[in-house]
Amino acid sequence: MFGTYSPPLSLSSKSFKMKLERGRERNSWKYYRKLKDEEKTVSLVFSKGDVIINPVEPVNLPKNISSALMIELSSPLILAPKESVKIYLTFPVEIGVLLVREKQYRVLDIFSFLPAKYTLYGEVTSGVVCKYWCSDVHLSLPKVNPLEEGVLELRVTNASGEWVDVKEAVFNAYGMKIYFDKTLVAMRGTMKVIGEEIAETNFIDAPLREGMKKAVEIYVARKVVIPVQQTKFVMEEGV
Amino acid sequence: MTDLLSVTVYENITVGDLVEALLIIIGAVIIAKIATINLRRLLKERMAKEHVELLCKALKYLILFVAFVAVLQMFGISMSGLLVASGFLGMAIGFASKSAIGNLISGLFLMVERPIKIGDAIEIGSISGVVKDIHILSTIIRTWDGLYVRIPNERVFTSNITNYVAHPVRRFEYVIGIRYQDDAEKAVKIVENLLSSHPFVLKNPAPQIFVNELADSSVNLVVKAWAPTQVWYATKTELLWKIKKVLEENGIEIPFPQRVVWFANELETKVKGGRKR
Repeated sequence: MFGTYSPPLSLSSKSFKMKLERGRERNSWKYYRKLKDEEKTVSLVFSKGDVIINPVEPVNLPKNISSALMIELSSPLILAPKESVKIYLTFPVEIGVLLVREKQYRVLDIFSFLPAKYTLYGEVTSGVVCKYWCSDVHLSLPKVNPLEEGVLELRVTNASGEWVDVKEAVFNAYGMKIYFDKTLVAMRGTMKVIGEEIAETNFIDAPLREGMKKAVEIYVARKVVIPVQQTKFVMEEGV
Repeated sequence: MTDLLSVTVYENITVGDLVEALLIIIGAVIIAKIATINLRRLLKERMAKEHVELLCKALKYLILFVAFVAVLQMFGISMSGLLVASGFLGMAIGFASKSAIGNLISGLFLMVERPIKIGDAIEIGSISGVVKDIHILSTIIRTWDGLYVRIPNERVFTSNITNYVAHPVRRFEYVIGIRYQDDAEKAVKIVENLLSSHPFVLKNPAPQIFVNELADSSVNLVVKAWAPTQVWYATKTELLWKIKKVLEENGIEIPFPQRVVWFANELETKVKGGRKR
């Protein structure tokens, strides 16, 4: 499904249907997408342009209310002082349909084959609302369906002088660098545990394996410019 | 150089006095400039631009006025008459604009303390709605039914303010009555499943569902769930009907108020077309 298409286009599977077809008027187009019971229709006017379908930062559905993604570890990762480990977590994939014309992007649609869930990281008075995902901790690359789940290669470093239990990791969508190929959607990140309650997460702008293509980052490609303050996330309310 | 500074220009005013006066004025201009820059920076995101400029101008002229008075004193010009006159004038203006000054001061405190921001959903006293603007003297609210309400800042400052969007998440609560013959544990499970499938019912803090009361006509379940503040109202209004529907789909009904009446003596009733009992 991922790739660049020249319209018109039509894609379908068991519970999914998408098409972009020419309308009656010159340069007019109609976009239609159906996923389970959810339908979306958009009318468009453009003379030239391509359609990009690629994974996007997974914090947009069902409504963009936060730019943070929390991945809860199904079992805690216990790290001795000054130890470091590379683990693999999964994350939910959101698929973006973008129109591109002379390097100008317009987000047409975002959908996901998985249900969304939100949670709060931190206290009710000062916490951060995050998109929620629970992942097993893998020590090697897990096999996942790239249309549903991506893989995050995470280098966890315990920079503190204490043993730490890592139970969750929170990431900022502004820093996400998603790469994809036919069988894998992936990101690479780091998590530096500074203390029992403090950690810093960030992303590495590099593919997980050779030949992967970088996805269009909609948080900078969107027409509505969202000011980017920082790409890191500082977890100050526990790890 | 010293001789030049001691040259008398007019009566007992020397060149040195003039230079000193000039330095005071230049110093005051510089201080006013620095003070206004800092004030502008401090209030930039807290007040409308025109109000910030007004305050900056007021501060600038106040500093220049103080410098001017200092210079006059230096030249031996007595300010006592002017001060007495300005004192009376100040009192008169003060009495006349007592509430305006109260509102102004309250407005400044509101801007520094920032209990509310433009766009916040709030309740001040008996008025609730969305803050549309915060002026120096008043705060403008658009009520939920679309009315324009101007509240003097003094009243805003001295009233209880409830800010509905100050925190990232909010809780909502329902009381749902089910029949006595229904399985309450099953009902709790059904509601739990429904809430966990809703994207905006937060995973943490986790929702709570429990039997709260054995009431007259129903077993009352309490449902408490948290949602992000931005979608709190939509989530709250959406879920109640869904709970009702999903309970009914599973054979659990919400009963009407009912009362069992026992009579001391057996009643005889006549039913038309029926037989006597």
